[in-house]
Amino acid sequence: MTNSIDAARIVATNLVKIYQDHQDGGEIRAVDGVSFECRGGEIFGLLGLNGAGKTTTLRMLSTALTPTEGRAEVAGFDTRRDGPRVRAHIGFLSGTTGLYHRLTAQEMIRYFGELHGLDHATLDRRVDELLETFGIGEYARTRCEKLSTGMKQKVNIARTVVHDPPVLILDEPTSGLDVLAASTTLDFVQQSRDRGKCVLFSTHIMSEAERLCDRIGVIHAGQLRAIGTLDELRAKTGQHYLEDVFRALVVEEAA
Amino acid sequence: MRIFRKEVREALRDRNLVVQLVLVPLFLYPLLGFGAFQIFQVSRGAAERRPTVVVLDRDLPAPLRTAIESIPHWETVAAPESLDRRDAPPPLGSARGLAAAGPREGPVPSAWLAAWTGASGDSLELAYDRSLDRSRQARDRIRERIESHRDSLIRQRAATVGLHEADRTPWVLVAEDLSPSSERGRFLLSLVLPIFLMIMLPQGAYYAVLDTVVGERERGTWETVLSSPLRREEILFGKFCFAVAWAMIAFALNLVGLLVFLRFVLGMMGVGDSLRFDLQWGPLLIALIAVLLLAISLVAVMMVVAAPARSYREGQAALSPVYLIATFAGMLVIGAGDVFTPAQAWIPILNVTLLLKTALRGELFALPTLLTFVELALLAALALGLAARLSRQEALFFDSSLTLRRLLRSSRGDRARSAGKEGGR
Repeated sequence: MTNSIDAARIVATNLVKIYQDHQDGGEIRAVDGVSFECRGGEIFGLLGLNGAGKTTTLRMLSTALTPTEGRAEVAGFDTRRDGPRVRAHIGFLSGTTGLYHRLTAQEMIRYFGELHGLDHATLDRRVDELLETFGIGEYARTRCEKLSTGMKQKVNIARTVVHDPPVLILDEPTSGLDVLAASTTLDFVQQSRDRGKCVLFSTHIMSEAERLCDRIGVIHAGQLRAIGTLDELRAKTGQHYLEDVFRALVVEEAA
Repeated sequence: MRIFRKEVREALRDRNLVVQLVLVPLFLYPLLGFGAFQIFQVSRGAAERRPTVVVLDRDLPAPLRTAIESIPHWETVAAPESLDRRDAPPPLGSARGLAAAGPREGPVPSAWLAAWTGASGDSLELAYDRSLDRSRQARDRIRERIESHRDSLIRQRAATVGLHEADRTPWVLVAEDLSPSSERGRFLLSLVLPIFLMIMLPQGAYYAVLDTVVGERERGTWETVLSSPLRREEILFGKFCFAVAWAMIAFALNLVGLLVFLRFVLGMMGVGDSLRFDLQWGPLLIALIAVLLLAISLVAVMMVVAAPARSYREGQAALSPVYLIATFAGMLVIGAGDVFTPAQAWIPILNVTLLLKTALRGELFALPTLLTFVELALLAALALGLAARLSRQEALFFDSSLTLRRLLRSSRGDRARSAGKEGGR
């Protein structure tokens, strides 16, 4: 059983993910001993270059992938043992979570509410709320394939939170979005934090991390190089701007 | 059930899928039947009305000439008197001559007739061009007239020497079809339906699997649905049920469409009233259960084969061989005879086709039917087991360079590694 403190928390302990390299038969350590904790009412940013291990880490936490080693607890449930219960308590959004083109915006949100087992009355209420919150009421009956990129992203966010999960795992959610759509997404992330949600947010865009994150974990080559608030990271590296902090932690440390 | 409902809703909004499922069986067959019949009627009428030029040898006996000249819409032309026999024969069908008739040594050079017909001797020769429909039609009609004239000559000569019809023909062989109209109707159905249906069942499965499995990857929605609390097996089972249902609905609608088509065509041919399609529901029900089991196996195999495909094109390339093999195995029923043997019961797909064929005739062969069910159950269990095992592979959903071979290999390796470990997916 989970309690109210655990309900909005992520604890990753020494997570490792190893893939077989089909080219040379060797191993690829995509994630190599990642440990961190993210609490309710906090945005924890996972900052790293493309291929640093952000997506693999988030996929392990969302139970899409099984860690080769280590363990993780999300909303008080073990990701290995309680996959369905972990997923029932998280909202997972990434640049690769697409929409069903032939469903309308409303049907898409409803469908995920049904998958999360919401009863009819709750689902009706939640769908109406979300359509209004994200300003997609006008497009509720439009098929997803006909929506603009920004509108698709709003629908995607709405279906992610239809069951009002305590934990949000967002993998580069602004990737490929225009300024307005990205801004909508970032506003939503901030509001979620303000409502006491535990938000794990990965990005390679420094300004987003700087604007949003309460704490930042810098990941490189599958390893967490540093964790802390922006001020703590500044103090550690002696740099002011996050871009310089990041370079100091990743490039110079690697050299 | 929620996955199933959503798949159905999505599929019914895809124009291609709906056309394949509903419009083809319910509208295309009757339309094709009507069109083919109309074309046949029109072309036959046109052929009868079309002026046909026939070159007749000047030495052709008068009664024969009269018989041929009496064919309506025909223009008969006497062969020219002065022919240069050194010339090569003109090709039949060109210019005027679509068929030529005459005794061997008439004004039409025998070398020409020989070149046209390859025949020699004292026989009456009929030259035509086999590669032309019109020439073949002319041949048949001239032959009919000549043979009719010959019979009449024989009768006259027989009468001259005092022979009666009975002396000339010691017995008459009369063949009579004793089968009742219902048997004839069932026989006709058993000839036609199993072949078509064994094309339509794999086709229904093909389109459904392509949409529900490959489409998920093509649209980038695997990760979306995997983020729901459902287990992977539940998600794939929902998709599997949809594909099986789709294949069976395709099968059922095609059955209805073909029955309507057959009735329509037979009615137009004027034999509809002499045939009845009284089906024996017991054997047919057993055959339909076998079809359902086959659909289960087929969909499971197709889902496994299509799983690594990253796009519709790759999915089509992966599924086409399975579809062709399934269709070919069903087609073997053409040469399989009327009896369903235990040996045939071990050949997948053919066994169900034969079971359906014999069931449509109202027959049930107990042992082959039993063996068919045993084989289908084994196949379905194997295919479903494999599909379930593969559904636990992460690579199936996240490896963009996945191949079927690697998927199967990693499944074996994963099973060995995961023995004794817990699973919460």
